[in-house]
Amino acid sequence: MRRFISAGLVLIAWVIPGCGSGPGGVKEALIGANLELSGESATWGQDTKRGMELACEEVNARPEQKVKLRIIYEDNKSEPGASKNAMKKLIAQDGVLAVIGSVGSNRTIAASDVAMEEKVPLMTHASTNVTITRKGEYVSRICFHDDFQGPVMAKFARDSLKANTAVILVSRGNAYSEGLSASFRKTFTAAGGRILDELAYQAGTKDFKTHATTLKQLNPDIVWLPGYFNEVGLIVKQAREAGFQAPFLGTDGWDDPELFRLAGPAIKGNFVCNHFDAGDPDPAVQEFVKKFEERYKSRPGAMSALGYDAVYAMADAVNRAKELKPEAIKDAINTIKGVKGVCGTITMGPDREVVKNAVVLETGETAFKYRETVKP
Amino acid sequence: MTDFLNYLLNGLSLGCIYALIAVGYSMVYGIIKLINFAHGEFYMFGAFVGYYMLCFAFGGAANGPDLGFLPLLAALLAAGLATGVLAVAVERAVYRPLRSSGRIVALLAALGVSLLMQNAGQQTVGPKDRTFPHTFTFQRFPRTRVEPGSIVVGQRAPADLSIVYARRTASGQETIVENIASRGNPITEPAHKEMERILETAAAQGCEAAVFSYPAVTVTNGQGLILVVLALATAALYLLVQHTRFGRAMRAVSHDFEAAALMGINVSRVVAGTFFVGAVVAGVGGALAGGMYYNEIGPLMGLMPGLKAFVAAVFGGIGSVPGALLGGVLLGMSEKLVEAYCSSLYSDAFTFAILILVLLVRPSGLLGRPPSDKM
Repeated sequence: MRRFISAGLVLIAWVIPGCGSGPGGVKEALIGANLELSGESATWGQDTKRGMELACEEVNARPEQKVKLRIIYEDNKSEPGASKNAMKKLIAQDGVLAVIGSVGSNRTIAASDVAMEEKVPLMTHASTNVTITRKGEYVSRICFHDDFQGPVMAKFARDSLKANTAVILVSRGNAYSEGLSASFRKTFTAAGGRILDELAYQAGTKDFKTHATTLKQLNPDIVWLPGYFNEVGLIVKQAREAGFQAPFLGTDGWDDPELFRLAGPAIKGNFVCNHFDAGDPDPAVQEFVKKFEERYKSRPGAMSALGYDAVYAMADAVNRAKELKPEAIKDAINTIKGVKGVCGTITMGPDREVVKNAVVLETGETAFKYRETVKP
Repeated sequence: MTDFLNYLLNGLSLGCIYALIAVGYSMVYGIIKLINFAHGEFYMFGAFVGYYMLCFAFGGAANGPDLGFLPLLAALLAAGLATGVLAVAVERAVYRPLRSSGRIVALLAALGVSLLMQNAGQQTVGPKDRTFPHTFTFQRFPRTRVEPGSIVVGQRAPADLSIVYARRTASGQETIVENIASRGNPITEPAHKEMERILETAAAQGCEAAVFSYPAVTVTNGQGLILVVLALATAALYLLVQHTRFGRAMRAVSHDFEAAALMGINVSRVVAGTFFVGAVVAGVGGALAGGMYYNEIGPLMGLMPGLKAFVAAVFGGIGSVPGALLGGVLLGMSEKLVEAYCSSLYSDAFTFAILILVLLVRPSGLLGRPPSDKM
C-alpha cells in the first residue's frame, strides 16, 4: 500500500506542471524558450540556444542553485503568429513556469500578449523595441532598448564622426526598425544635426539600386540603417557599387556572420551599436568566450551572450522565488539585483528594464572591431 | 536628369529579369492555356543549381576569390539544363495526366506544385537565405583612368572617383573597388591615404591598381551581362519559334491544339518541349539574377519575381513571346520609377494595379491578339 502511495505521489509530482524533485530531493523548474530556431532570423535563435545551453549546465552545477533549471526550446519560425502559438504551447502543454525569448521585437510583442493573459512571466533577452515591457508586470527585459540604442548612435555620429546630415533608411512595418529610426531622429536633430530624408524599404527586397541612386543624390554625411543583416548586406553592397561612400550606422540587427558574406569587402568602414564584444578584455567575458569556443568551435556573438545572461538571471530569480509558481517567479524576476553577466550587470528597474553599457563596433572586411564603449 | 537615367537603367536590368521569367509563362500559356504558377519556383531551382555547381565543381564560397566568367557560364548552363529537365518531369508527372480535366484543375495543380517546391526547398536546403559564390566584382562603365597624382586632399571631386585593384588572397586573386570620393564631395585625407597605401601595396606585390573617374550615368558589368543574356535568349527564341520544325509545330499547336494533333503533330512532345525551353530561360535567369546579380538566394526567392513576371506576361499579352519581353522590361522600369519618385513601398502595389488595369481595359495585353472565334 505504501508503495502505491509513494508511486502515486511520484506520479503526481511528475504530472503537476513545471516543478518536481530530481534525484536527491533537488527541485527542478521548467523554463520555456520561445526562439527563432528556423525562418529568417534562425541564426539568432540558434545562437541564443547555444548560449542558453551552456549557461544552463553551468548554473545547474553550482552548489548554491537550490532549484535546477530544465529548458524546453520551442521554435517560433521567426513569425509573430507562430510565436504566439509557441508561447501557448509552452504554457498549456509543457506547463513551464517562465519563458525566455524571443529575439525579434515583433515576435516578442506577440508572445507578450499571451504572457499577460496566462500570467506567466516572459523575459526577453534581446528584443529592443521600447513598447515591449509596457505590456505589464509579466514582461521584462535584460538588455538595453531602442530609446537607448538610437541615441547612442546619434551621439556617436555627431561627436565621433562629426556628421551634420543624415538620411534614415527604415524597414517599414518592422517595429524594431521604426522605433530605432524615431529615437535616432530625435537625438540627432536635438544635437544640431539635420535629417535630409527618410527612405523606406520592405523586408525581403533584393533590389536597392533606387535607394543607392537616391542616397548619392542626397549626399548625407552618414546613413542611419536600423535593419536586419540580410537586407543591410545587400543595401551596403549595392550603395557602394553605385559609388556612394558615406558610412552606414546600424544596430544589433546587423550582428550576423552572413552580413560579411553578403556584402563582401564593401562592408568595411561602417559602425554598429551592440550588446557585447567578444574582444572585451574583461576576464569574465574571456572565460565565457573560451568555454563557448571549446564547445561550439565558433566565436560567440551578442545573441549567445544575451541568451547566456538570461539563463543566469532566470536561475537567480527561480532560486529566490518564494514558491515555484509563475506569479512568485514573476516577483523574483522583477526584483533581480546585481546578477553579473557577460553583457553587463543585470538589475531590474521599476519599469522592468535594465541599465547597461553599449559598445560601438566598426565593421572590418570580415568581422567587427571594437571602437568605443558608451555608458548610459 | 542624370538621376532619372540611372533609375531607368536600374529598371531596365530589373525588367530584363522579369522578362526572362515572363517568357516561359507566356510560352506555356500560348500552347496549353495553363498559367504555370510553379514557374517562379523554376527560377529558384535554377539559382540553387547554379549555387551548387559553383560550390562543388569550382570550389566557390561566399567569401572566396573571384571565380571568373567561365565558371559562371558553366553554372548558367547547368542551371538552365537542370531546370529544363525538372520542368519536363513536372509536366509529365502532374500536368499531362490532368490535361483533359479542365483548366481550373490544371491551375490548382500548378499552385500545388509551386507550394510543394517552396516547402520541399525549405525542408531540404533550409529556410535561410544564403550568399551566392562570388564570380566577379561589379565595376561601373564607362570610366576613364586618372593619374593618382592629380587627386589632391581638400579639393572637390569633379566626378566619382574610385580605385580598382587586384588583391592576392589565400586561394587566388580578387578585384576590389574602393570609392575615394563621390561627385562634388571633398577628397578627405583618410581616403587619400588609403588610396596611396593601396597603390603602394599593389605595386609591391606586382598587382594592378588604377584610379578611375566616372560620368554621372553608368551601368555595371553585372547589369550589362543581364542585358546580353536577355538579348541572346531573345535571338535564340526567335530562331527557335520562327525558323525550326519544332517552332512551326509549336505555332501550330498554339493556333489549334486539336487540329494540330489531327495533322500528325506529336502534341505531347511539343508541350514537353515548350516547358523545357521556358524553364531553361527561367533557370538561367535564376542563377543569373538571384545568384550573380543580387547574390542572395533562398527557397522562397521565386515567389515575388514569379508573380511580377506573371503580371509582365499579362501586360505584354499572355501567349506572346515578344509581349512578355516588352512587358517585363516596361514593368521593371516603371517599378523603379515609382520607387524613385513616389515611394518604394508602392512599387508592389503599383505592379498589381497594372495587372488589374490591363485586365479591365485591354485583357489581351500590349502585343496579344484579341481572342477570335474559331470556325
